[in-house]
Amino acid sequence: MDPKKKTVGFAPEHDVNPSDLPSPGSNNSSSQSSPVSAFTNTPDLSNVNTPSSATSSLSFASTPTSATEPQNISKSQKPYEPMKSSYEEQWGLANKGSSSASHKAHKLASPRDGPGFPKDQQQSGKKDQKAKRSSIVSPTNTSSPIGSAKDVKGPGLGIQALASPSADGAQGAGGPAGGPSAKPSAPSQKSMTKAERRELQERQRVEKAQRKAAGLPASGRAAAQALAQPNSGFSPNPSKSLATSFPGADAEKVIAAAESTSQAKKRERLTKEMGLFAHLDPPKFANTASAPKDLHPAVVNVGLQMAQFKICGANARCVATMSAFRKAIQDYKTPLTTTLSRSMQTYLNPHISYLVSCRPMAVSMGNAIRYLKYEIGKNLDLPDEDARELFLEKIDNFIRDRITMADQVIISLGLQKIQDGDVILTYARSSVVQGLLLAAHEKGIKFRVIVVDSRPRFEGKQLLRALASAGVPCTYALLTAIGHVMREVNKVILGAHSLLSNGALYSRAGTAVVAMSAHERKIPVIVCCETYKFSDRVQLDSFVQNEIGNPDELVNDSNNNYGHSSTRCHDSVHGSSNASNSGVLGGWRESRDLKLLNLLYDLTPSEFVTVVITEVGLIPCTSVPVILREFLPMIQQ
Amino acid sequence: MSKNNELVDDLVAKLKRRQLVGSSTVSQATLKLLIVVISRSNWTTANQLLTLVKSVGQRLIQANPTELAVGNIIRRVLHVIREEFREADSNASSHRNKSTESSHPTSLTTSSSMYNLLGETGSTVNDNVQYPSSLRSNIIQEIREIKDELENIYDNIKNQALLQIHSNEIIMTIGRSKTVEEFLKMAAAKRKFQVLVAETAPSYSGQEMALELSKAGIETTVIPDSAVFAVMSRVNKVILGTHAVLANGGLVAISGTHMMAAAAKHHSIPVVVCTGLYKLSPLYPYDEDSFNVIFNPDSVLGFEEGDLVEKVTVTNPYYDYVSPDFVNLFITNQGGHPPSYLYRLIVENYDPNDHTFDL
Repeated sequence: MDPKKKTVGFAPEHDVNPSDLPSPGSNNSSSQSSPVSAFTNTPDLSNVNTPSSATSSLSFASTPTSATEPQNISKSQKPYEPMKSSYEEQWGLANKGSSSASHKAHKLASPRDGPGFPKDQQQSGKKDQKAKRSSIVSPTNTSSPIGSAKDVKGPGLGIQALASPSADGAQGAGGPAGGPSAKPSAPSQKSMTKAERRELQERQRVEKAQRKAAGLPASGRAAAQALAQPNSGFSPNPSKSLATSFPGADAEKVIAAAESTSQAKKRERLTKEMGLFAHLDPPKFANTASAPKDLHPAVVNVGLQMAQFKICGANARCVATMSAFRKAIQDYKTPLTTTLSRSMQTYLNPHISYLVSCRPMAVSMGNAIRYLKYEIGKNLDLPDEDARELFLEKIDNFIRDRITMADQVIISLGLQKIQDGDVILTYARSSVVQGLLLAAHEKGIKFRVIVVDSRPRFEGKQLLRALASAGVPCTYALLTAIGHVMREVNKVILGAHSLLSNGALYSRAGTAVVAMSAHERKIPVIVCCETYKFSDRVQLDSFVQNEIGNPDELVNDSNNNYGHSSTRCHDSVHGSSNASNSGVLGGWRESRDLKLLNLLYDLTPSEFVTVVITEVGLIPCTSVPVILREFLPMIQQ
Repeated sequence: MSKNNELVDDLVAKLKRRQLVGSSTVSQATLKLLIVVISRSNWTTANQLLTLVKSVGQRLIQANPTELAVGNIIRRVLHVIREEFREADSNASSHRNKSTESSHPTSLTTSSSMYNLLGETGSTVNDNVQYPSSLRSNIIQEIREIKDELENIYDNIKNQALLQIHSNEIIMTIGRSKTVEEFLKMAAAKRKFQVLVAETAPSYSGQEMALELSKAGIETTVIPDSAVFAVMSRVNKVILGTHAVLANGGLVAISGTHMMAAAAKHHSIPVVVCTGLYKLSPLYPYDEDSFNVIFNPDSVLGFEEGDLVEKVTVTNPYYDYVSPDFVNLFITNQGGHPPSYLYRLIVENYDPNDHTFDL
């Protein structure tokens, strides 16, 4: 093995399932290079998360990981100064302007000694910790840390994954499985036991060995592997560049290769896109390799988290983006020849395009960024420090006025619509709806909630958890049962990703079915949506503009924990003896005629929506263009 | 009688334990049992035989009331028995008084409900007639014909596939239905089209369906259930399987069917239901839940989420009721029928006296 390869890769301090987490590995073989240090703030995130257990009644974060957001919001309601400190708390630690690698390594290591160190990591044992530390520090101190890579039993993912092509594969594969997941946000990991994970990895390894034995040509091997194990985080192919410890990174690379040689057919075979959706971007497997070198780490961080759906939900994504930009502006050093305001736009543009390359931009993010650019363009002649202060303030104000306070108003308006004895149905999870329901419960209203959820993301489970722990009586059902549960419902409350100018509601896929079922039974459908999510776009169907998710999420094998219990049930239903039909679709890439389509959004026609609760009042959804035209310029003053 | 009881007990147990599920399997098992019971038991009069079959039927139905096909098969058999006795009756009477003109042609009385309405009581069976010994074998023969019909049901349905599917169509379906599968495979032999299959959580039978179809060379795309509405606007036809068809043309089908049918209706997409006639039940859904089963919630929210399961109600209905307004066409082994025609098929296949089993 090439020792050079082992030095590369950055071992994230939280241990992770390789199939799920982007190891912020670097494509650069030099361990001291700036990209590596750029990622030093990844661990910080996970550290900050833990102490900031959601104290706010408003939770924007749709994943526990991004529990940073609630804190963010709650603080941002206070005057400007305290909020700033909250940002620093969250994003500050690693990137306070220092560029020394060793300094960063210190920072990396230090938080784990603090009380904020994630619980599950403490569980993973002191031995592991020690190993981890060595793995983290090694890139900065050691020139050739072969030994440390071998020693690492714990989650030294980046190093191990790359260092162990075949023979060490067992050890390497066993490594990340060694401890409980540090990311409670990934349900698949969380509910997967150690044994299960190990089993999975064992299987993958065997499969790999078989492929190797079958004598696949070296050039085609990566493609074959990408086909066979799109979720595998390991790339044992040493001939490839090294930033491959991401799920799907192999596939991505092969796709890129295919594109570069203009083998459109090959690409089609890999992504297997549906003809109807050929105009949409294929699912993106973000990795740091694609990131330009001079991006601010906070933005890279947010980008990666979005790509992994660690941060999702329109509000959470917008807040995360704006906070990252805030950080970027704060740390920005104006080049000698120009002023801050004038160079800011060109500075931010690559950041924005990086975020887009991670995941298509949310409407909310787009609106927020447009606002920021507008403010920058308006104040070109301010002195540097004044401009910086102004932009930071504008960002804070945007988050406060358009999101935090807007939500407060929406909740207080929404409370009028919830009465004793109501049975409220909601779909998936929206931060505003969650806030509203919790506020209603706090207010002492006696009502029941039916949470309808669907594959593959099961976002409703988070809402369910929040409501159940607050003591709201809840019922949980899947979307297929909508016809059954809708009968007892008397109100449907939905969140929105965006409201379009023709009154259509663009929201999580499945929302349309829920709204339709309610409409069919003449049940009022209430949508909660902040005005900053309004879009001047007009869309008639769910095809022209949408987002395609990772199709592998639909495969319910043990890799993807969602479906495993269901298969048990299914067996009993049919009395069949096919012991494991988990992963029925496991081989879908090999099958010529089988495709998976994981559509993320859908469009609900305006006729299904009874009322939209916004911070400017209760309006029919067809009034979106009116709000956009009449009120927004006023609000923005 | 005791040996029959054993067989009946066996089937009852299997139905109760849901070891036998699915309309097709239970109807074949029921028919097999009835053939044995009828051929082995002693009976001389029509009422004796009817009572015997009804009592067996009652036990089977009580074992699993949601398997409506069991009841349907029993009604079919009862219908056959009545007809055979009636025929034997009329033969006997015509033998006795050849000179007197037969008051009505038998075929008319048995098949026309309208005729019955006008005062003819053709359904009563005379007990005092001596029946020819061939009667027993005739009845068994007739029942075997029902059995043949069950076995050939897919052929009869799939032969109509080319009449319904044109080239380059996009077809949507949900769940796994053998009938739909055969139907689509048959069409695929001649036509090129695309199928979208909703994966049908939490049973994920749609995934299996998709796998089967793709093996047959049909271009198949699996979509999550949530995307049904989103892609519906481009679908040409929704083809559904069903668990049972009720007297009003409503369906009892796998949960999620209602959602798909309603989405199709919103987009004015025709909904075609492929079903064998043995699934047609004369029962009427007075309550939408009357034929539903609430299933093990484990597949919806597993016990891995123990803390959560404790606090919330989890519901997992297995079937959906789909009202007849959502269905445009039934394709049965006897051809295509609109939902409004189903009452006629019911009259043809079942005797009105058998709609409920009162002994």
